[in-house]
Amino acid sequence: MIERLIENWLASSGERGYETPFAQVLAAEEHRILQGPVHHPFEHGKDILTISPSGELQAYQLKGPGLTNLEEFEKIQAQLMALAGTAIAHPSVTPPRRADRVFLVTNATLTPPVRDRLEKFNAGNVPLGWPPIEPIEREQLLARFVAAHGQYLPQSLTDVRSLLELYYSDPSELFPVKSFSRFLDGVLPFPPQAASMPECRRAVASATLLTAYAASSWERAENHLCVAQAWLTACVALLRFAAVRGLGENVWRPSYELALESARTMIASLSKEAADAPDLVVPDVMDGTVYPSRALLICGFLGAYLISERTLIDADRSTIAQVETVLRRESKHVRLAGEADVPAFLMVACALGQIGEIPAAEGMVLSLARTLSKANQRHSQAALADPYHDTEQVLLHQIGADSDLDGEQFDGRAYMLHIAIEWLARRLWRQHLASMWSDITHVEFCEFRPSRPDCYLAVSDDQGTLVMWQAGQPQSWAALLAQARELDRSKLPDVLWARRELIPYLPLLFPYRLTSTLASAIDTIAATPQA
Amino acid sequence: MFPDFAKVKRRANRDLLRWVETQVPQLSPLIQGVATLQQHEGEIGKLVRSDGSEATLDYPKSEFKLELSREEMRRFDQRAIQEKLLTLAKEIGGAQVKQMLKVVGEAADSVGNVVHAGGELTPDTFFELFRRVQMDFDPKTLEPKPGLMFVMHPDTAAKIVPKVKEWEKDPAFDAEYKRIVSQNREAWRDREANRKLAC
Repeated sequence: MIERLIENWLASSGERGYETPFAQVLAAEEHRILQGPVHHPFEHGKDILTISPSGELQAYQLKGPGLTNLEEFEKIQAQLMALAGTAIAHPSVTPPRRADRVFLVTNATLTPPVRDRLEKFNAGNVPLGWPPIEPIEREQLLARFVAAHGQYLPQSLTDVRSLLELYYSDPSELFPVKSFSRFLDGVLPFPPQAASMPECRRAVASATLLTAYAASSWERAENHLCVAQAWLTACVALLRFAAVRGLGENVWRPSYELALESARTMIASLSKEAADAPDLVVPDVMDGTVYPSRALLICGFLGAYLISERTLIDADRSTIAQVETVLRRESKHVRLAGEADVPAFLMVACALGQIGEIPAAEGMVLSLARTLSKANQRHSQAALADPYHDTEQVLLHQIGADSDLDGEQFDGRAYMLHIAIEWLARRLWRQHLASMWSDITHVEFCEFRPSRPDCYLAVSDDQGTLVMWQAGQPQSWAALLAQARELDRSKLPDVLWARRELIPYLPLLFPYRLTSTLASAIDTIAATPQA
Repeated sequence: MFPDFAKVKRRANRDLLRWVETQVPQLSPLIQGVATLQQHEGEIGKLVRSDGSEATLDYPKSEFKLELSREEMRRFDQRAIQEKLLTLAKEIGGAQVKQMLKVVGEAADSVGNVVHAGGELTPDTFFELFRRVQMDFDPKTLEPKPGLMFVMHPDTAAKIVPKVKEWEKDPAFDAEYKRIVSQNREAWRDREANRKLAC
């Protein structure tokens, strides 16, 4: 059944839809990926560059399902000449030279006239010493995709059903981050399951491919944020698997980087779409009821992107400029529905701070602290729901529909108030905090502390502890400042510190993981991105 | 397996469960107004008190039973089901009260905030109780906030309540009571004044 799904997915994917999974297949076949999928004027016909297991330099040009007739083939002839004839300039290829083997990859089935033309094209290039262009068509792709999964395809019917549900999802819905995370946890052989190193490598590859299938509905609809969420969820799952299994980087890093690159590409597409549009409206009479939440969701991810990109050396300046445009335009429209929105809210504030809008950033967090300290007072009817309830559920509850909030009380406590307080304390907002302190003392602080560092990356942790405490009465400013400035790095997994670009995204995927430690870590990497 | 209308039943069950949840505090007044919290992950909670002391919440399991015969299921009688559920709600409330008193008792014992009456309640022990209880006051009227209550066995109450009513007639008793309330008001003012960010 899953093979049929892969076949269906392959047939219906555009070039962009299968390029990362194809790179993953190559990685699973033990190619060293020199350059993942790229689309810029300097690609010279080469989407993917690899060193094969036998040491050959290989270049791949990927095309979508439209490549079935001569007319289409002629449109790409210039790219094919560049693919076969131009030298590859890459730090790993010195001096620059032509590839040893070049491939035209398509998820279409080429017609005989196209195959014939390709043969003639290759024959004409022999005198020039160019390598022949070798076609890889849908059937070959399918076989290689299936083989790449090994045994790590969903086995239980429940997992198969989950995958099918994701595959056939309505792309106008939000991406189900938590259930997808659980799905990946079921695919990856976490202890106590036994798995050899090659099996772990295969499982990692399989998880990456499954992410592409799971997100394909959103991918086809160009719902960039949801696709980015899928890839980021995969990144988190891969890091946790690496941490729990103690895997070497060579096992998980190629897959992680492909997944991360896909997420970055999607967020870059989102930023372009949002910056080019006059607003973030999805036309509907009732759009106003959800607009502030949509603005917050989008701005939260763009804010995280901005902070994350600064930790990487290859940040795209034009995308950063688009992000800045959107943040400046939309940040005034964001609104908190529940505490699950706080990570996105905080991320917007951090990002605004990074682009020089410091008064706006600090004003946002002051309003956050004030809102939580007032709205979540004991007996308040306006208390914000805890961060375990997604924004969508909170909005449903607000309009009187069934939701997972039914029967719960949220007054008298808050999971995110102490985080806002510490954020403000780090910026020395003593007087404003002092003016709020009486209200703050009436709200109990809550924080779920994961049982182990790697559990920060888990969708749920049965062994962790929910800690509840109250603000000091009185509270020493010096002690508060010391506490706010403290960062115990050992509480977060080493693998996350090693891939610090993922830190800003983590609380957007799992809002209840935003603890004092994680918030402090985000501030730290925002202040010193390259450390 | 017979065909079923699972969605309808799930929804009806959910509504019924919500109804039971609203009945529990009504049938067990002692837990009325006590805040509830749903812990979404992890099996242990930790409460850090303002004095720094800690208590572990390990959520002991409680089980209750509701039995319906096949005949009762076949002939749906909402009133009959609700009657059974009221019994269930009373049991749940009773268990919650018992657990709450156990936890409160242990907390009081652990810090020594206990008054032993030695078999017979006297005005002195009664006042000592009042002195040790943290009272909250309305910031506008400065009157004690409602919610303070004595919990005792009905047999004990039958003995004590008339006795206290008798004491209340004594002006000296009344004056001492007012003095303690006044002391507690000052203690409350001190606590409220401490809700501040200091140096």
